[in-house]
Amino acid sequence: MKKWMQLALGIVTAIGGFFDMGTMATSAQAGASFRFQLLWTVGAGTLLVIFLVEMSGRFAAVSRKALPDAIREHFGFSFWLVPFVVLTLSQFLVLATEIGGICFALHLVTGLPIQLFALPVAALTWLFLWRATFSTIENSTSLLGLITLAFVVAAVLHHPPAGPVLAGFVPTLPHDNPLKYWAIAVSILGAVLSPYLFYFYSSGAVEDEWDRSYVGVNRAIAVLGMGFGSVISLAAIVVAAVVLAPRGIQVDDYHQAALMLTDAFPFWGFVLFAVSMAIACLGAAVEVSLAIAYSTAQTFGWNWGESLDPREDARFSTVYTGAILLASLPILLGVDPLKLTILAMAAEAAVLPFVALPFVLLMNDRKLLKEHANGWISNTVAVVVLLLSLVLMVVSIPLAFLGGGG
Amino acid sequence: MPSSLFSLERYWRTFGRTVVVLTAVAILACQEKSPEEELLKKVEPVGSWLATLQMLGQKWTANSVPASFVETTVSAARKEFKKAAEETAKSKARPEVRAPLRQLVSEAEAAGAGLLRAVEAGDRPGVAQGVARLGALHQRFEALQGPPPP
Amino acid sequence: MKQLDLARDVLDKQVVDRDGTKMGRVDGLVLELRGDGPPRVESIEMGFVVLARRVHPRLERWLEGLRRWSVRKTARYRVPWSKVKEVTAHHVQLDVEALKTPAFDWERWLRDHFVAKVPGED
Repeated sequence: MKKWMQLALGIVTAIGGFFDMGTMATSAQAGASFRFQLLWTVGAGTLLVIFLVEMSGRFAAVSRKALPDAIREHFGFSFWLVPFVVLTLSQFLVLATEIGGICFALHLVTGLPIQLFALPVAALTWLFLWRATFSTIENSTSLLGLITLAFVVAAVLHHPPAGPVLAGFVPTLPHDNPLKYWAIAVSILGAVLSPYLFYFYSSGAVEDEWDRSYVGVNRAIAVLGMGFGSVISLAAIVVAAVVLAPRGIQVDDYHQAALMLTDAFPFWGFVLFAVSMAIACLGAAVEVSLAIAYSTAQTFGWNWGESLDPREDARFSTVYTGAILLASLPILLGVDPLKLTILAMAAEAAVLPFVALPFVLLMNDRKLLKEHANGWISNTVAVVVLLLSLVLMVVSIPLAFLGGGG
Repeated sequence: MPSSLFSLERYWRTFGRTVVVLTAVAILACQEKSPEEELLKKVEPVGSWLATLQMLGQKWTANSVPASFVETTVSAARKEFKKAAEETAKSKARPEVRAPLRQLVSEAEAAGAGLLRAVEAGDRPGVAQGVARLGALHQRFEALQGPPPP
Repeated sequence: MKQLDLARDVLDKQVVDRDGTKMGRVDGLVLELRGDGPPRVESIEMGFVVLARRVHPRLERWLEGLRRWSVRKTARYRVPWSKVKEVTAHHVQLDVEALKTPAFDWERWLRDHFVAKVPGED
């Protein structure tokens, strides 16, 4: 019975977790600027992330260790140092972005300036982490996160033309504005192949005390959770394509995206957008702060665990406290949330090879994983991810500057 | 022991140079444009914002968005219009391109301000007029941008 | 005599105390060079400064300079090898009590000066 519960919750969590500021923003931009043409990017990214998440969960279930823990132990501190530093930097940028998302949502409903909400939102996020246990956090954010299904409902209500939508799943070259096209495509991949996601997932599996018997559950969560989650992103692209693109509206600012749901839901659309944004970003903010604390504590061997009382893991708790406080600074200082998001997505894409390589190497360690080590299918996908990540690393930051502004 | 293969220096030596080279190539590729093309590219958001304000007015009339949202969005739009005006002023493009653009952008700013005033006064006919004006400006802007490439 | 691969099985391993509480990691090993016979493992070392030396000596010196503000009395916490109870695939267990060791200096300080100060902590 427990396994079925875990499975259901895991799927719901993964669905809610897929959609965050990064996927929301990049989907809106993609739909508004290129209609259905970039649907394939979300599809391809999802396929790859399903494998990555499955590997991450399988690793934690079989070895009973989270990734940062295992990587330092297996490869040594000097090897792990660079990936650890860049992973932490990218996670920090993502955290700042998610906080920005919650602040923007509050700004939408109140009309008050975004900066005003930076510290209160940080305090709320922190309080949630300080008081709650891991399962409470996962369950509440995931269940509330289902409100993002509003995008799926809206997409269905719009009756998009089936032909162009299906055609969008086939990779095509852009007709015009190639720099912007590839900038958004790379951004989407950065948002979907989020490094914090599969690192966090392994720590979460250890928190939930998964063992070998969870390998099957893990596979289902990875496929169904990430799969269904991506549907929300795809729906957001469709909605933007049908509502914004025909009017000639591009998403250079989140205010433009906020109009997305008002065609399908004339009365509730505006509020649904704001609430979806707030909840999706709160869930993500909580997860990323934990991810930063997990990777730091595990790297240095400190006591860690969200379910522990902060008194028992003071260093772990201090790390997420400090991270949240620092991450609220960009928004507090007036950095534009959309620009921050674009930077964070580029950073995630750029960091991917550093964090994917040790992970993939570990997945082939037969001593650690025995018969659960990667087979040829997982390894083929892993190699694809690694090669793709190298390309992304090189192009993501230049494209962010050229495709975004130029 | 893998650590020797992946030291800091190797990362920078292999990847650092590639990033720099690619960025330089990309930037050079961008310089290919004429001043007219460059200006039109830079002010592209103006069209998008005109369309945004048009939709904004319609949605306020339909009670889909609150007045506070109209205020913050018009404010964001006007910031972009100001930026576009600055770009037009300092651009080296021909006067035939710059003059109508400058005219259009200042009209856009006025239209945005007008829309906000009408919304704040609850003046529905006024908002409808503003929306129509914005629609016309949008069409003029699209015409300025020229026909899309084949 | 059981074989022990120091680099693979001891270095960077999770260190736990008598009760299994996580203390830190084996950041370094101190070997004693003897005139006759092979070197002997004298102790394990734990500490940021120890890690810094593995990365770059200049980093180590820079960190040592910051120690004025450090809560820890000892930069390098050395535990004699005799205190090692067992080395498993998961951890290196020491015959000590974590709370009383320098490895927990920061943990204790943060607990007393930060966690305890947060209102509502019972």
